[in-house]
Amino acid sequence: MPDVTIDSSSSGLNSSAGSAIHDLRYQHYKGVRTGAVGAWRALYRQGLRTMFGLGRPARFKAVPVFVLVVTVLPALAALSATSLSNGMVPLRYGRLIEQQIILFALFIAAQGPELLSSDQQYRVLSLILTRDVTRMSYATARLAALFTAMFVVAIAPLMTLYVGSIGLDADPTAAFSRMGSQIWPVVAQSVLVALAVGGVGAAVSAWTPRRGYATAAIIALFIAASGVSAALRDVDASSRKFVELIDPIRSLHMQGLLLFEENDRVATEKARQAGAAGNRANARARARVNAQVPQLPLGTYALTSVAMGVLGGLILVFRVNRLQP
Amino acid sequence: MALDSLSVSIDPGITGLVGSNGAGKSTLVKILLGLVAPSGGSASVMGNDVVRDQRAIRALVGYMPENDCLPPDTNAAQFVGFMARCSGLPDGAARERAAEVLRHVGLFEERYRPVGSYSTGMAQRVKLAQALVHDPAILILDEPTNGLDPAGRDEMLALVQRTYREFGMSVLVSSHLLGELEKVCDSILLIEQGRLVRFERLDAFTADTGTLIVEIDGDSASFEAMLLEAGLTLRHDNNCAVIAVPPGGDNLDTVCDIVRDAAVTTGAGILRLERNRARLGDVFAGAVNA
Repeated sequence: MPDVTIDSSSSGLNSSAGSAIHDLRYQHYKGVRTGAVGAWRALYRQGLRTMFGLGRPARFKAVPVFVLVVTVLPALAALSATSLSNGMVPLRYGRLIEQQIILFALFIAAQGPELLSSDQQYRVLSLILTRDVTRMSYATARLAALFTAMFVVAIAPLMTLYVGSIGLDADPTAAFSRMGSQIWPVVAQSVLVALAVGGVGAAVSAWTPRRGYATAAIIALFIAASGVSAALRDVDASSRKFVELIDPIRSLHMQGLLLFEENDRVATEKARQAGAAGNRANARARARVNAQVPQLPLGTYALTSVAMGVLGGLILVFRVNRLQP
Repeated sequence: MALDSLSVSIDPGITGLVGSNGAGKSTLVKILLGLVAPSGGSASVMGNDVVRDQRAIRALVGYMPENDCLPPDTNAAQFVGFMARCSGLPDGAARERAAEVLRHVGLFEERYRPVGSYSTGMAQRVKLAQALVHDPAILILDEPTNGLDPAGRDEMLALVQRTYREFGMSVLVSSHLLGELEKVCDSILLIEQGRLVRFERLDAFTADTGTLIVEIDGDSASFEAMLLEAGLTLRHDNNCAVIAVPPGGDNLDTVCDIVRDAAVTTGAGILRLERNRARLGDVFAGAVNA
């Protein structure tokens, strides 16, 4: 093999004339190689950027930006309502969560396939697998990127509310020492949302190289689960509690209510409304109240979320291992 | 079975892998890369077994696939840099190497354009660049001239040649076109239906055929008559005289002298005078049609 390293001292031209002659010949790489660990990190980081459309044209940033804005805005509105009413209007994390989970599902439906399906669609995956990347490390790096991105999106509105409520307090330092422990429900809810919603996104996106199909399938899955859960709810009273676990949007909402300890408040408020509505409507109103109150312990909801994340991850790993090179 | 009783050992240099579609070229390449496990037998790359030492092979080998493999919305610098990182190069080095190899393939100016806007020729160069970016010892190029026009083919093959001559990387290049490989390869591996047909160094193929080609401007009839008179055997082919050179030390010089004298006597101008080498296509014609 010819040696093409360049020794500038051997060339009198370089030094004597005082002006550098740029040698544009090929140089071999002699630096560090971080191996499989570096490759995993590269896949993870590039995956995370893809999830937010970074380093790509504006149209890839549309959905992430839309979801972030639309989920953070209600948090800001709630903050200003609390602030303007001098705390008379209490902050409700649980109520905020209710409307947002469908938007999180939209985020995963749009960006999950962007991350996982397009590697298959453009056959980049088969190229990546010729690098210092095994199928397992590809799957885990992409999965980690997906969960991280979902976590960031899920925690943004809750964090806005949390930080905002401390900042708006007359004495932020006192507020922080009072509310410091409340960060845990914020983090826990976001992690569990990331696992549950991200798990669905990973499981579906892995199956098709067509991004549009994957997006449609993810949204359809959330809607279908919601419908199935609602239909089964009235069938049998004993299984009714567990039926709501089928619907991720609903069970994540219930999980949020329990985490932020707002379940009782919702129940009493609804009951009061029901009482005001008069006796005739009482029975139906009470049923509606029940529908708004978590029927299962927090641990069950949390376990379901974790199970969805794990299952989604396993399905992705299984699929990536089966793909033809 | 895509490959069957194929035993071969490839030396450093540029090796052409030739076979018609479905001959097993891509399968061989994928086995060497460890993408496909051989159902039997063994293969090794620079002493590393393709099944056991995949990791080592991945650092040593750069692979340019036959199919499209470029995400259209990223630019070339990003994509090649990402591929470098996937081979374990740190960020800064990956960026520098990406710029460097893109310059080598002639895409320095266009490197920030989205890959989707590239012509086929440019896309092929990006694919070559990503195979070079982690500075492998061996390059495996699967049909690098696919879809290119004649000028694009020549440029791509010149790049392949430079890769070995200047960068010192051995190259295994596959193609179903024998003609284009003979320009750049040191040896040729011909496979057909998964079986090895021939594997030899190119200079052995294109050895001297023992004839001399002379093309003249002038009265070729009297020129050729003079040569025949001098005792040479020749045939007329395509406006040229193909003269048989008897084997032996000084015979070539003697024949050349006779040709010169004949040209002087008949007043003809010699346009071409060269030793006739076998064309690779002629050598393989029998094997491919068999």
